[in-house]
Amino acid sequence: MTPPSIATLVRPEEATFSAADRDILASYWHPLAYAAEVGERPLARRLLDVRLVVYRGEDGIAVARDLCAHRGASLSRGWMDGGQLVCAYHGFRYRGDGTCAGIPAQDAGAPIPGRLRLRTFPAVVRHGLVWTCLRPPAAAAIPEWPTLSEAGRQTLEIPAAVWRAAAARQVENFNDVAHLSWVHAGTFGNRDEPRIQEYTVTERADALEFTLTYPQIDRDTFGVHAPAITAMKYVYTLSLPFATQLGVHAPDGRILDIFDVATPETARRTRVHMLLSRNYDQNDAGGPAIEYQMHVNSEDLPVVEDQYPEDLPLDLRQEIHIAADRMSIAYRKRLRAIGLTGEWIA
Amino acid sequence: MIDDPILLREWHVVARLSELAPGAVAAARLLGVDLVVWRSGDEVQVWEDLCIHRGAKLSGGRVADGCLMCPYHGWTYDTAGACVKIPAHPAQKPPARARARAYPVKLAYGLVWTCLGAPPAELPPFPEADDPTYRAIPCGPYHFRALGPRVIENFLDVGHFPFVHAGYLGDLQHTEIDEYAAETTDHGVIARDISIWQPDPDGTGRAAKVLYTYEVLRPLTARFTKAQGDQRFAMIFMVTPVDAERSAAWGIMVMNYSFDVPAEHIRAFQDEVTGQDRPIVESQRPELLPLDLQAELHLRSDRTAIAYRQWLRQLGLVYGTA
Repeated sequence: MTPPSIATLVRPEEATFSAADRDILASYWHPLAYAAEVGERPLARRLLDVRLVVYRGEDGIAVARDLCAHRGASLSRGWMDGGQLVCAYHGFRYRGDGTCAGIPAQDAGAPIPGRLRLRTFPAVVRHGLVWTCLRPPAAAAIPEWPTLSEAGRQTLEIPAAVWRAAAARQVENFNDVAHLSWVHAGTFGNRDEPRIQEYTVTERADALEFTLTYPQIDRDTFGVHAPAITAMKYVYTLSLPFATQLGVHAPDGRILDIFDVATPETARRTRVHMLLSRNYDQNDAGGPAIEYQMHVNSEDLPVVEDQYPEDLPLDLRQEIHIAADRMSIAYRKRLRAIGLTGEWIA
Repeated sequence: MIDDPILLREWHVVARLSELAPGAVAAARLLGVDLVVWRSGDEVQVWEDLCIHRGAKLSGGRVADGCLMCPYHGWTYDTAGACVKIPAHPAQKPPARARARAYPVKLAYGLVWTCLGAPPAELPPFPEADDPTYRAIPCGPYHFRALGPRVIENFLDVGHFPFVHAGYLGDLQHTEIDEYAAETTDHGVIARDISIWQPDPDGTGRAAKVLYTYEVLRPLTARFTKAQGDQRFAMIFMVTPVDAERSAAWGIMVMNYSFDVPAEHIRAFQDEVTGQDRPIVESQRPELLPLDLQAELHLRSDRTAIAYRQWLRQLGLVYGTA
């Protein structure tokens, strides 16, 4: 049976996706926050135009529509008390499963109407992230990413950033190699070697993969050694629609995995969570590596935010494609294949 | 793009040449279209601000070897707008479709002009700009969160001087406007011999009556000449329709006296006066200038405004009007 559309959860003036595209994307898992961010206060989030509240109930992290069942107040304005979410408007208390645990205005013994419960969504903590799916059953599983739990790895969380861009534009940029010599020239991009070798894209059930060697500027985390040019093997795995693992493999055995997950808050605004996992340079809390990655991201952000049209054109005739764009072409085709039109209404 | 049949066939100012050094790349916006303005040597190009490959803004790029290079993947465009280099595949000839969309350019009065449609042959006339008995002082651009017709009408209005510009262009003790004539011609509007009491018209500190002549030269370009004896002060005012909410006004002042007063002082005075106008113009409702004269109240002193609205109506201007 097809689950119902989530269009009714969106305030009409806040709709930026067409209902059809939103429903397709709503059947995938998307992260809303790092689990470590969820604690003392409820968090306000938006996913596919839907306002959500993320909070830590007695039994774990919960995700609900950011709407008190009583008078429609935003629950994210409230606070946590004894593992219950308290509405700031009239103090109604909610458990992690969305049921109401107390109505302060009435006597303690008075019955609580069964209808008084929050619309909740599945909340799964994996890879340190809180994932939800607005329209289960999910069309694909949360990516496995086994390297994250390999022995000898250190995982670092890059603070989430909001990009004023469509999620698919952010993802395509992360999977694009030809821009490295330009946008990241001097950081790790090699302006002297902008040529992109031939590569092929492997199609998997829920993912796209490709591998490419790129002679990047290789900097060590602590700036002890002078930068050198190293032929790095880049292994990309894009789990549809918006989660990518990029493995950066140095010939000497150093491995850095970068996980980039784009969460579509609206058709024009994307929250980006990023994890780093590496088997080297671990004798610090990760500060320099996090700062360096944030600097790299800040080089991409203005270019992607300025791209036009804002939505990724799924009609391939709208832009020009070259051999280096094989991944971009494959990605656009797969987004089409899952039923997206890309004709978002924002 | 704002599809106004009149404004698409007009020249509009998008940059000041003195602020566009050789090798400079700047962003501009005209009628809702993002533009990149760039200069190689003495040549200036105005293009749509878009690389056809992945839709990045070319205005984030840079000029190298007389070509404009996209900041995203280094696609390189020559001055004719053709992509001549794709660095990821240097051996491959760029496809013919890989072109920038170029718009016509005119350089005049120290400004860069462009037109999104079929351009007219001539720019608005401003003969004083080439007259050696005058010196020219550029000012602006002044950014308004308002549309061109309201901005121009404010430029043409003398009735607000004693109130908005008290102590600058008018005096609260002298608010009356004498009779004057305004007429609509084939080329625009002219209003002659408007007598205004000003507290210090020429910077000598003496109050006097001056005579203003206003002309509307194009739908969004107007000028005035202020006369006091042999002294002439004139100003041309060109409003660029940025998008559906914003305008940018570019001015050039010319004067045949007070050559010893530094240009910065005169510009600062104009900046202050325009700063007094801005909040009023931005507050006007409706935002669209009503061309139906019944929609607002008009006085004798509004003759220039009435003639301007009538002329816009004849032209069929859609942008910024109702």
